[in-house]
Order: sequence, then structure tokens, then C-alpha cells
Amino acid sequence: MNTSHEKDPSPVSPDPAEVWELRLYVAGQTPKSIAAFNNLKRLCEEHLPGRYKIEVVDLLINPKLARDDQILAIPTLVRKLPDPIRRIIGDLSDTERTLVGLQLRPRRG
Amino acid sequence: MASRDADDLLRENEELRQRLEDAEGTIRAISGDEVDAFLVRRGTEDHVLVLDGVDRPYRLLIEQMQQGAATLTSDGTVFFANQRLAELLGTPLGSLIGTRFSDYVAPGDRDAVTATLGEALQRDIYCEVAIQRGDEVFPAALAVSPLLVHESILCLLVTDLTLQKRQDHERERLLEEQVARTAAESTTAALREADRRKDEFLAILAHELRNPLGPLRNGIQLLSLAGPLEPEVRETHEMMARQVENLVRLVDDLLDVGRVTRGMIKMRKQRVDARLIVSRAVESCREFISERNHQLDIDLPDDPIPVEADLVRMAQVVVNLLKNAAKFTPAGGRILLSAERTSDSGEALIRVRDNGEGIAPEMLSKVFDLFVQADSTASRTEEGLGIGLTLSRHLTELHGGTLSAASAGLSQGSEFVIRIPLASEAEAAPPSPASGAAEAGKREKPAHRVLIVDDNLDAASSLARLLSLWGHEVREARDGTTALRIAAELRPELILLDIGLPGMNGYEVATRLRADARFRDVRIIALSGYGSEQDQARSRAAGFDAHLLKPAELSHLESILASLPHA
Repeated sequence: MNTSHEKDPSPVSPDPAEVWELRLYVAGQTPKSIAAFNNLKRLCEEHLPGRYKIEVVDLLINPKLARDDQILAIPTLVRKLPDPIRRIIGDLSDTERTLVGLQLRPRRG
Repeated sequence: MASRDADDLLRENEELRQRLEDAEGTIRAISGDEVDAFLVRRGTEDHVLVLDGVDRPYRLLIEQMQQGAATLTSDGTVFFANQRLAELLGTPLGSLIGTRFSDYVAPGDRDAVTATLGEALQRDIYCEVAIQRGDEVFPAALAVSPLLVHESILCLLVTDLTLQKRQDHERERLLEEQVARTAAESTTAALREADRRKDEFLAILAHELRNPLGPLRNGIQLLSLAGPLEPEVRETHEMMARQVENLVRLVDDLLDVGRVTRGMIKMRKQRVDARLIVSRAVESCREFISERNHQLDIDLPDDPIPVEADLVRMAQVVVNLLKNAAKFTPAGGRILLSAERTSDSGEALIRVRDNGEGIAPEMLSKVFDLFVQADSTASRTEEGLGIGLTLSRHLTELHGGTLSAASAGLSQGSEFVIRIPLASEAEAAPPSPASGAAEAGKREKPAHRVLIVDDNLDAASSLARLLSLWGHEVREARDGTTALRIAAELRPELILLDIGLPGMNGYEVATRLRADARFRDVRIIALSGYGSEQDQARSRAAGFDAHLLKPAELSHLESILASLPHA
């Protein structure tokens, strides 16, 4: 998808001052939820040190919160800021795909 | 318009692309096992559907806890079991399910377990049973509770108690050891206390026995000073003198029992014929032996057997052995007493042999222990403190000798053998009996003024008469007050002062005398039945010059008098 490459916003952290707002949907302490949180934490420390916020939403406690972000599978990470909203489904164990999904790395042709 | 349409199309395209990407991501995540929960909608309600994980900790808990766990039907059939239980029972998990739990219980406990399972639908049950695992049996705790009452399902927890029981045993063993140690310590303390009381008792007893001995000894001395005696009377008198000396020594021994075992007894050795030791001993106990109708044979050589010995002590040893033989030989027995010298080893041998009860082999090594008698039941009928052999062995050892016992066994008689080194021939034997006292009165000695203070009338007056015969000026007092008054009149050079006086005691009298300038230089000697170091220290503190044990040795008194400055 070469065309989409051109249309993507600048892939690598456009504004160094901008704070990333990330929301991780989990279901209690399921293994994938725990894995997703750990993977996300590690990625952020590596690529967005000092300018990210992670909000963990436990859908076991309040399933309604999932509606806004149209969550189907858990865990799911939603990038609230910077715009546009991006979703990455799963435990974020594939680092490459997660970085691409978050637009922290260009999509490979 | 066209560009706007184009923009819309572009945005729509982008949105679709994004949604497709999300859908692809979701499918990929599901098939890649990256998610484990879904949000599902039931009507208007959202629910989280968990594939795996939320109940996982519970399952892990059941599988990995140290206890075996199972659900059972009320008849004891295993419905579900964790891996741990299979391991505990030593059977594969697969073949455990469906079997009866009681099959794994040791036969003796099976019925009880079956009954327990029946009760457990109503209430929680805890019990300890033996579990059979192959050939091995181990202790286990069962906790059974109702799980699903309507379905008659029970929850069973099995805890292996092997380790705990072992620890309990170990703890019990340690506790028992602790208790035993404490008991031993208190026994030791009790023994020490008993020992202390024994010493105290012996000290008091010796004191009480010494008191009447003083006047007796003085009286015997007086008799010899009174003038020449008829030959028969003289023999009796000499016997009395010897026996009183023996008595004094024995009383001392009694006091010394505690010291004897610590080897703290003093010997008064001189060159003496062992045959004399034997005859002295026989003299002391001939009656004791004849009362029991024993025949006593004495075998002595013609030549003297010179030894370096305390005559009284060694005679005492032989007496002890003779009495021992007489006691432990049934009436009408035979006792053989002999003395000889061994030319080769340079030793004197004194043997006492009897044909009596003998000594069991296991008792041979113990007969010399303090307060041990060969047969405690038999010994009860005989007098004696049970110190004789102990004392005898110690006394013999103090002479550089040995005392040994031999017996072929019970009813085979016994033989005791004393061995002491012979005295070297070179040394002449200057017979120096302490008989100087008798002749003392006749010697030219300066006369002194002596005050005797004692509430024991016999003791005071016999000593006073003796000192008068020696040529001294003697006054007596029965109590402290009188003593102070007479002292003022007499101005004595020597005061023999009893400690245990009625009213004002000897210490107080001495203190008062010393406080008076007139009596600062007078010689004050304590006469007391108590001679411990504390007693002596106390009398020194009160101003006494010396502390003599009652009855005072006459030779002692003599040398004290001789040491007084000439008037």
C-alpha cells in the first residue's frame, strides 16, 4: 500500500513536546491484560520517555466504558492523542506491529 | 463541488481503510492468541467474556497448594482431584478419579473414614488418619466439608503430616531431654543440700560427742597423776586411756567424713610395728567378734614388721575390716587375721579373711564407695554408717598403700588385703608417745594463773584439777559474768574460755576482756566443739589467741602453758 504511506501523517514523533495519551482496555488480571500492560510500559519508556500517559480501563469493573472506543476484543490499546485515534488489538507482544500501529515507525511496504 | 466530492471520497476511503485495518488487527490478534477476553452485548448490557485467566489463579491455587484436594460424592467416590492428591496417594490422576477414597486409607482407619464422610455433609470434619501408599503408611490430616449439599458433593483436603509428626517427635524428644536435665539438676541440688545437711549433722553430732570426752580424758589423766596404781587397776586404766583416745579419734573421723573423701585428713605417722597395729585392732573388737560366736585366728610372725604409720588410724582400718568380716559372716564363722612382710616388694601385708557371705562380682568394685554396703537388706540388721570401707581405703592410701577386696562370689567368703610400704630399716625407732602430759606435773615448770570458763561442770573441774596437779593456780567460772569478776581478782595469765556459754557467750567475754587494759596481754584460748574455719576466724576477730577443739590435747595445753612468759 504505497499510497497510504504517502497519506499517513509524519510517522515519527512529530512534536517532541506533545504528550501521548494512551488508554489500555483490560479484563481484570487476565494474563494477556497483564502482558499488554507490561509491553506498553516498556515501549513507552523506550520511544516516548517522559511524554506519555497510560490510562488502564478494567472492563470487568465497568463494561460500559468500552462503548466509546468500540472495544470488541481485550486487551485493546487506544491512542487518544495525538490525533487521529488508533487502535491496536492484542497483548502488544509483536513490538514491530505495535510501533507501526502507533505510527512510531513507518509501515513497511 | 467536484473537489469536495473528491475530499469526501478520500476521507471515506481513509475511514474504511482504518476500519478494515482494525478488523484485520482484531482477527490477527484473536488467531495469534493475543487476546483473552471479549466484550459481548446481551440485550443492552455489555459483558466481559473471559476466555482464560480470571479463574486461573483459583485453578492454580488448587493445583499447586501443598494439600491434596478432591471433591467426593457422599459415598466417597473421587469426582475431581488435584495433581497433588494423586502424588500423595501414589497413583496417576487418571486412575484416581472414580475410585473410592477409602481404598487409599490404611485398613485400620477405613471404617472411621467412611463414617466421617457420611457426617461431613452436615458439618466440617477434621481427623487424622494413616494413608496407605504402596507398602508405605504415612500420617495425614483430612479436612472434609460439604461443598454442594444438594448434589451430595464433599470437599476433601488431605495434608501429609509426616514432616510435622517428625518435628513433633523431635520437639517432644527435646522437651523430654530438657525435663530430664532439669530433673537431674534438681536432683544434684537436692543431693548437694543433703550433703550439706549431712555435714552439718555430723558437725553437731561430733560436738555433742566431744563434750563428754573432755572430762573423761582429763579424769584418766588425773588417775595416773594420783599416784602409783595397783597392777590390775593400771591395766584397766591403760585400756581406758587407749579407748578414750580411740573414741576421740573416731569422733574426729566422724567430723572428717566430708573431708576424708576429699583427701583432707592429717596423718600422725610414726615408726610402728604392724603386729602392734593388728593387736590394737583385735583388742578393740574382740568382744564384737566373740558376741557373734566367730572364731578368730591370728597369725603373726615372730619378727617385727616396721611401717611408717599412724597407729590409731591403721588400727582403725583393721578394726573396720574385722568388724566388717564379723558382720557379714553368719554366726559361728571363722575369721583369719594375719600380718606378714613380703621380702620381694618391701611391703607389709595385713589380711582379713572370712568364710561369710562373700561379695558378688559386680559389687566388688563398689564396696569402697561411700555409704554403700554389699547387701543393703542384710546390712540394715547390722549397725554401722556405711563409711567404714571408704574411710579405710582412704586411710590406707594416705599411708602410701592399697586396700583391696577379693571374693569368689556370694557365700564364698571375702578377703581384704592391706598393703603398706615397709619403713626403711636405717631409721631407728625412738618411741615417743605423747605421754609427756603424765609426767608434766613432775617437771620443774613455772606456775601460772589460769582461769577456766566452762558451763560443763565435769569438763571445767577435771581440767582444773589436772592443771592444779601440774602446779598452776587455777580458778573456774561457769558463765561470762562470773568469769569477768574472777578475772579481775585473779589477773590470770591464761584464760581457757568455752564459746558456748549461757547468756554472754565466749566471743562476747573475750571482746569485753580485750576492751579492758588490764587484760590486753592475757593469753585467751577458745575451747570449742566447733572447729570450722569460720569458727576460728570469728574467735580470732573476738580477740582469742588460739582456737582449740574440745577435748583439748593435753600436750597442746602443756605447750601453751610453757610458752607463757615467766611471771
